[in-house]
Amino acid sequence: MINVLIQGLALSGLYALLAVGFTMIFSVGRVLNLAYGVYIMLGGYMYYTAVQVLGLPKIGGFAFAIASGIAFGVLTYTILVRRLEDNPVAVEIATLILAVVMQSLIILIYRPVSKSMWPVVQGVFRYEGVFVTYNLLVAMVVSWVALAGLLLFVRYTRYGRAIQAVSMDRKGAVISGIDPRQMNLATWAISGALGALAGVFFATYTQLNPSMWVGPLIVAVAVVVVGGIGSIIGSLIVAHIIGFMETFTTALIAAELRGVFTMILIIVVLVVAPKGLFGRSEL
Amino acid sequence: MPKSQFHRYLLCWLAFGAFMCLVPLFASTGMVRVLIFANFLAIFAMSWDIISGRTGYISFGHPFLIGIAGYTTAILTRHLDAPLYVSIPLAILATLVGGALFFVPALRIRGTYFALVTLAFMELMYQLTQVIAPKITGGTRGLSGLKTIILGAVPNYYLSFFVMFAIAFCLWLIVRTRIGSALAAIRMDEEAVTALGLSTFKLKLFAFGTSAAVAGIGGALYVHYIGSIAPRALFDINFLFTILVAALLGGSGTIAGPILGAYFLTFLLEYLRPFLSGAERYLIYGAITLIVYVLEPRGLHSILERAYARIAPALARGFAR
Amino acid sequence: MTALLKLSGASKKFGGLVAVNNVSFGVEKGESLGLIGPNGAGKTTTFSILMGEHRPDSGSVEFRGQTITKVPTHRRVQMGIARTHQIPRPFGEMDVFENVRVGSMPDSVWRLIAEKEPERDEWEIIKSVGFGEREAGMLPGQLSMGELRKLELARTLAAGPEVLLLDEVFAGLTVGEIAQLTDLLLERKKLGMTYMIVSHDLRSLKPLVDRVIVMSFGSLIAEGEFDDVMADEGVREAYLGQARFDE
Ligand SMILES: Nc1ncnc2c1ncn2[C@@H]1O[C@H](COP(=O)(O)OP(=O)(O)OP(=O)(O)O)[C@@H](O)[C@H]1O
Ligand SMILES: [Mg+2]
Repeated sequence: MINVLIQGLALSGLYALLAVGFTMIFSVGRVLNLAYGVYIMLGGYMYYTAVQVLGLPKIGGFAFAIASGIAFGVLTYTILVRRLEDNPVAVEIATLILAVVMQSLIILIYRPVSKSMWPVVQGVFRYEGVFVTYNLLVAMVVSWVALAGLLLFVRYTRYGRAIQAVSMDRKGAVISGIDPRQMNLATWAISGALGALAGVFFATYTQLNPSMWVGPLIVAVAVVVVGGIGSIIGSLIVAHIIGFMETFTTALIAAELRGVFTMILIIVVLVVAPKGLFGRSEL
Repeated sequence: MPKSQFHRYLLCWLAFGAFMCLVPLFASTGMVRVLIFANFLAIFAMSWDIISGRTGYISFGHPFLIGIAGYTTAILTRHLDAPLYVSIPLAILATLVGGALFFVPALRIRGTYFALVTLAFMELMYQLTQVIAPKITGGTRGLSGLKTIILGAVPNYYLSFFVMFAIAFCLWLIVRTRIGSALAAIRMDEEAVTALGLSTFKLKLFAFGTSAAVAGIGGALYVHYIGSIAPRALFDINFLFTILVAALLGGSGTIAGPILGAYFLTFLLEYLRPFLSGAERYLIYGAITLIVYVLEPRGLHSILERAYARIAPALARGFAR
Repeated sequence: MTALLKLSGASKKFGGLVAVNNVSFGVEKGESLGLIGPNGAGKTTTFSILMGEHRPDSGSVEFRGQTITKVPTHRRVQMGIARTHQIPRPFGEMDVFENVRVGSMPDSVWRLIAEKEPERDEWEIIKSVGFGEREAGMLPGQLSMGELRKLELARTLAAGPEVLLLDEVFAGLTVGEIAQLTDLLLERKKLGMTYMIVSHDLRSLKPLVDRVIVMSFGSLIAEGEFDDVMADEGVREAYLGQARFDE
């Protein structure tokens, strides 16, 4: 039982990191980036390429992954989203199409087969019937550190506060001299970085394959939907709800049903409380 | 719409129908098979467009509707040995019920969230069909060896084309009445429609019902054409993607658009096949669609229409001379 | 005489802000009631409560002696109450004629499909607000603010209201357009139309209304004949620095 709890905690940490980049874009730009899962996939594949194909050190792998996440985030925003910006529905459609395009690109380059990734950290933590891979534990710790860093950045730096201002009141921010486009661009870059970072751990937790972007995207969607337009803290809470729900389902019912409850959660929350359980109620 | 314009469009429909009837006379069997897929894709894209292109409620769950129809008729014919003339209508009925399920969230949720619920419906269905009662649904592998309606490429071509054509023509007759405007008005400003004394509930219900019925017809016939059904082939983002791309590329909010898009995609696929197999085609589809979508959100239909508007006066002058 | 449309003790809060605070008034059949007050007084919110677009936190709405507080908006329109929006909300991809046509549609899917509509009424309404054939074919994006307001009015008239709630009809209109609309509204008034009119342009409002009520910070602060209300100390106070109306 304790094992399940620890597993759940670690998985939830990873999910929080997975979702937070998606939530940020939503709260700043009021658009849903359905290509977000691609950042995660990209992170995984780039790390794999750097470390397992090119033989770079792990740090190089992370740098490579995060750099490509940032680049792709910035590209998505400037090439696609900026042109459709006032229309969230158009962005939603276009980013979904983009995601499938990227998926095919990955298939072209890496073939459609699954690849397994070496864990970032080897070994399994064992203590009185508790089994957790160090990898997942490290993922959780990295996730906490990254989230704490993000929180500090948003709360206490000028740039971060400007981003926050845009997310709260776009017009007001413009009046006080903030360029929302620039803030949006920064958000997309950060989101790309966070997605890619999460992607490295997610890929080691599951596997690399060209359709791996769907699962994390659904988790991110669930976090936004259930949390409402998210504060970082709100996303964190919901990530834990989902993480524990999945772990318990896997342990107590059946592993195949893992995702089912996440989906049901999305549907039920949207139908019963369209504004989310926590958080502000715009949109 | 002025009378003369109505007659001109009618003429276009008839010409299109007549031409497509002649196609098997000169096309190869391979081409005919390609066109069968184009016809089915056109049905699905039109179904999507009735909800999403018209009312602006973007459905990411159309494979869910198509899947309900497909699985209903597949299970009925496979396990209960039901004849097709019973199983197909029942499948359509089941899709309507499924569509109603879809509709409940739409009553409360607008804009971006609606698309998410429908996406969740599709993924949910994907996972459930594999886990729940695999004996009946065939689990991950699905069901194969299903009854076919008729045999042979050409008869199937005519069947698929007539069904597609009939649906398109009926939809066209419907949307060119005032209801077409009313549905489009919902897309533009739903509250303003309410403020003019129209129940958007009724209008949306009509659009959803029509869409579900069309998806049901298409889905049921489709599984009996290909003879098999599997969760990954149906409840899949790639399938959704193809439907979306056909409708958007051709031109959403029109009848001809989705048909145009479906044919265009299918032919693109056919000509690219020697160079690109498998995943590449999604790359090409997607890239083309994104470019067209960013430049002209109303798709090829609108581009062609504008080109025609430019050329038509010149042509008329030419004839007059 | 009982009021045709009546609001009793209505309140509406947005978060901590009391937008409408215990407001009661009635409009009689054939009457024309002005509703004025400084920006943010709660005038638009009051209209939204009358239309059912906002549920009041407390209070009730009555129409023809029947409580309609819970009746949905489209039903109220069918019963005979309709509004224009302060910021016009045209259907952006439809031309003027098509916009007005949506206003005149019956609330029945079957009738929308099966009935051939008479286009005569729509043309009459379009002409009456001062549009010609040319404007009828224009898209809202091509219209001026004044024309957008006329479109908003035409579309609402097409819904066939008995009580018409007009939110800032005159803003952005030229003097000539104001005169034209005043004539149109007065003509309809003779035929029995009942009005509630919100306007910051008090001079243009005066000839149209039989009576005015004044709101400030959500509350009703004065009620009576136009000139009497204008002379009221409290009303002057509320408007101080907002507008001068004794020109
Ligand atoms: N949907 C809403 N959510 C939150 N606050 C609102 C909402 N609608 C109106 N308000 C607030 O309620 C108050 C009353 O607004 P309302 O629009 O009714 O005023 P008004 O008298 O029509 O003003 P104006 O003359 O500027 O049109 C304002 O302070 C406004 O900011
Ligand atoms: Mg107002």
